[in-house]
Amino acid sequence: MSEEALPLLKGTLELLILKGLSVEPLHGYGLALWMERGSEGTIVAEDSAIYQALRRLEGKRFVEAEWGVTENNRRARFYRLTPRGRTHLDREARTWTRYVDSVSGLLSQGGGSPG
Amino acid sequence: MNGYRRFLRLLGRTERDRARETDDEIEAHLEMRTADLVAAGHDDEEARRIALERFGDLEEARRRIGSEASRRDRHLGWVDRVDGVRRDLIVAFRRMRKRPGHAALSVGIFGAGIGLTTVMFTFVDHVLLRPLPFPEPDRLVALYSVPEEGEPFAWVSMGNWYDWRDGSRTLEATAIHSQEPFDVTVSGFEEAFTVPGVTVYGPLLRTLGVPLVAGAHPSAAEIAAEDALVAVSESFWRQTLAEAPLDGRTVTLDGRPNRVVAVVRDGFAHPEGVDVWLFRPPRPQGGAARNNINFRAVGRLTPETTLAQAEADLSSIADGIRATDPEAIYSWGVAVRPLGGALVADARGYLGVLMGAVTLVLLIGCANLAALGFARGTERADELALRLSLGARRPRLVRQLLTEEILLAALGGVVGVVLSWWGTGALVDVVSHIVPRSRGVAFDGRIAAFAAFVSLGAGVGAGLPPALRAARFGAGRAQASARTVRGTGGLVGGGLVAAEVALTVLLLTGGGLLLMSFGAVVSRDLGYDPAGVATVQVALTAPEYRDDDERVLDYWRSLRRSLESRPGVEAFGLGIWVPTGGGGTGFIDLGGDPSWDAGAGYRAVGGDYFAALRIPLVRGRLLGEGDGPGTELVTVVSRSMAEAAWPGQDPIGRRVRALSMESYWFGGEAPWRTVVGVVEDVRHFGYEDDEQFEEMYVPHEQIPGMARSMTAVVRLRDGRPARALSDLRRAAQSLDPALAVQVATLDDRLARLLAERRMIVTLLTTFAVAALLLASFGVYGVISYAVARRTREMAIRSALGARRSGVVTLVVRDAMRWVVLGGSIGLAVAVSIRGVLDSLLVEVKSGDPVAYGAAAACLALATLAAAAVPAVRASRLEPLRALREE
Repeated sequence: MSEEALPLLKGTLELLILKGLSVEPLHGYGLALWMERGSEGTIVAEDSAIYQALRRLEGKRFVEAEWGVTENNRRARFYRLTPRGRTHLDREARTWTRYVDSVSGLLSQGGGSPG
Repeated sequence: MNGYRRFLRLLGRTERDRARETDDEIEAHLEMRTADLVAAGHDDEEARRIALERFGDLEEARRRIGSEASRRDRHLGWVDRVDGVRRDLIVAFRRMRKRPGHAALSVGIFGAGIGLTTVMFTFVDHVLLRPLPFPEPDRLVALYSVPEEGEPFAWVSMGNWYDWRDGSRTLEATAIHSQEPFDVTVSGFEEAFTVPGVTVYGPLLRTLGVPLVAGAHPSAAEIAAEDALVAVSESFWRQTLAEAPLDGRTVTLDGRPNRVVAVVRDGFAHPEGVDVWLFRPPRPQGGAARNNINFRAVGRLTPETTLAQAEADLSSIADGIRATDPEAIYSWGVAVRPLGGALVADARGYLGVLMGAVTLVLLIGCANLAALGFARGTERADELALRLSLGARRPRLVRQLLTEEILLAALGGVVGVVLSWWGTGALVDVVSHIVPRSRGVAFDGRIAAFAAFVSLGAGVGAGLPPALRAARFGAGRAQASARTVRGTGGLVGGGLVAAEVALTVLLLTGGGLLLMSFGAVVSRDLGYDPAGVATVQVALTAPEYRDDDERVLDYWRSLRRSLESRPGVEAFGLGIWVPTGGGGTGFIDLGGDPSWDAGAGYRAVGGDYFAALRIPLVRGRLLGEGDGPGTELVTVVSRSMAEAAWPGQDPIGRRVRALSMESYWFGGEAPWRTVVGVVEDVRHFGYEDDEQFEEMYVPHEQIPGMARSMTAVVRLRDGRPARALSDLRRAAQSLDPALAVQVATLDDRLARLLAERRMIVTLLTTFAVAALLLASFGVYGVISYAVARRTREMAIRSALGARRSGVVTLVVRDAMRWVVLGGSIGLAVAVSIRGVLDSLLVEVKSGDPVAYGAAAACLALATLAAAAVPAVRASRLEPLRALREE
């Protein structure tokens, strides 16, 4: 993880976490698994980065946390998306999509010339 | 709701909590990943190693997660507080709407208490706390004369002042002005009138740094060159001079044209209320004139000079004066006082007492509401118990309950601010002539801040005790079975009632003492009969009277003829100083008897002065028409003077000289006068005058030089002088339109002298009555609740045949025990601090048992009446209905 890549990664990671929580409450490990499986291993972050991002999201009141019990009877901290968080996710996801579409669009054209 | 409570738990989180949260979570994560890896075929050790590797550097991760977590908690803590306050307010508003009666009552009590306190504080702040409005007010001082014996006093002699001014190294500037503002006649307009003015020697306005609207401070050279310069007030300039430009503009004052050099901005007049400052060139003085102390001195200290340094500097000059002029009896030293403090010295005592009194009223109000809160707390115990068992934390509940009370107090504060806004304005109109520096008193931001602070304090004071207890009691309820818990509500509520009653007793005894003192003062014998007397005051300021004694005497004769012929006039008298109108005191000589060294009051009178005022003759004869310019010089003395000057002897035929008063008018040598009569003593300075009754009366026709300004006393046959005033004024005015005529009734003038005492008494008794009402209400509330709580018990008892009144009597007796306790404490405290009123009491001792007895009686009656209402209501309750209600 290089220093320069971090800002993009940070923002992206938070967005992905919100998306991961949009269906049901998950614990941190659950989120890690969801990302690994969903991206088929393309997006791999250190697990600890997920917990940092979760703390930030709590601070912004996009997620709430509560200790609970897993299917295997293990104690874990579950994160849930707040209404605020959902609104934020919708907005950010749209922006992200538009951005990616524009970038992909430009990349798929041939080289341009002014005029 | 769930999310909200989770946020709450974040609130109290510490660094240690956060570290544990992080460690637990990391451990759970590692365990889950390890378990999955094992399930996928790795052995235990291998699985753990991979899990750790995927997680990243453990120490670094802990540190980073920890710092993110503490940032989160800081932020959420703040969010939560705002959110919590908002929620508390919503709940409080909801509860208020549910019990509008209780809310209105609380807001009313808070509003009255805060309003009163704020009004009083507005005055205290403006009069006592704020510095003078002049630049660098700390350097402004008043200079006092120090006599051989007794306290320093504010009056100084011009002779001494010149020496102080010239010799001092600690005064940057100094000036003197005539002691009290006097009436200055303004003529040259349709009708002459008078305005208050002072004569000024030295740069008074410049020394103070008074801001000018127009013109400039006159220089010493200008004042010396032109002997009639005047500064006028802004309102005089606007109203009388129509804002005329100043270049060369003159105005005729006391018959002389004065050039207007400066216009003083309103609100900065010194002395207060003055409209014209007559700048006069220095008058050389010396010798005995050093002891003519008719001036007040102000000064501005050089920077960094202390009062003590200035006092030492000036006192050494005073020592020099005494060494060279042994007759200088007021030159034992110079006292230097801060000018701001000196101006309001008289008001400090009573403003302090009044501020204390309103504070007591506010405290009583808070105690009252707190007692009410306790009673209501027991009602809410079930609700609170439920909330506690559902996991609400106790501090939250306390905060919720407190928020309700603070909200009520804040609303009360708004009511109080409105009340004080209005009340201050109304009060200023009434008291601005009584309380120094109160003319500019007004509501402003500083006062608003005070009101807000008091509101908050009142809310916390009234709300915190019951809130703390309710939360504790709620917990008790949650654990014990509901109805059997006997709270300590009765005890604490009773204690509050006792406190309330004790404070009320303080106010009642204070108010009672002042009221008794007032009653005693106004029933004093004045020595004359003021009822039915009008006064007509004229100063012969026009130039044609200046050097013409015959013309002066002619004027007074024609005034007598004119006024005596008015319908309804019974008697006419004249005096240089009539009762309520000031006076002059001077040294006298009894013919070499060294035992007499006190002064005597001096009064030049004419007409039927003694008949008009109904001053009884004791022996000899009164002054009459036969005592004129050419006849034997005579005098009539007061009984006190006769007894002091010639004890046990016949005063008739004795001789006396009025040294200081008459020397000037008789070429430096006061003449001997023969005593021809003795009259009763008179309280010349109103009901509160009890200092000196030695007086001598002389015929004004025998000293025309002094008779330039006199007041006629006119007794009306029907005893209603107010109706004759305009007629008398017209009659006097028509004699010479260039002279200003002022009319009044003697009763009004007496009332004006008594205004300060009347104001203090009125305010303090108002506060005492407010306190009594509040305390009665407190007793009523506590008994109502006590009765309500025992309704079921009473119903059962009476169903079983007991007399209903039994239980009620029990409740009332219980409550009255607290009243008696509080009353006794209050009386004891009142007796022990009675000294604070000493300076305000005349004729009545602060320990007068009548006041204390009356206060106790008032209190007993009011609280019994308050207790009777709920008691009687309870005793009429139908047993069956009472049971059903339970």
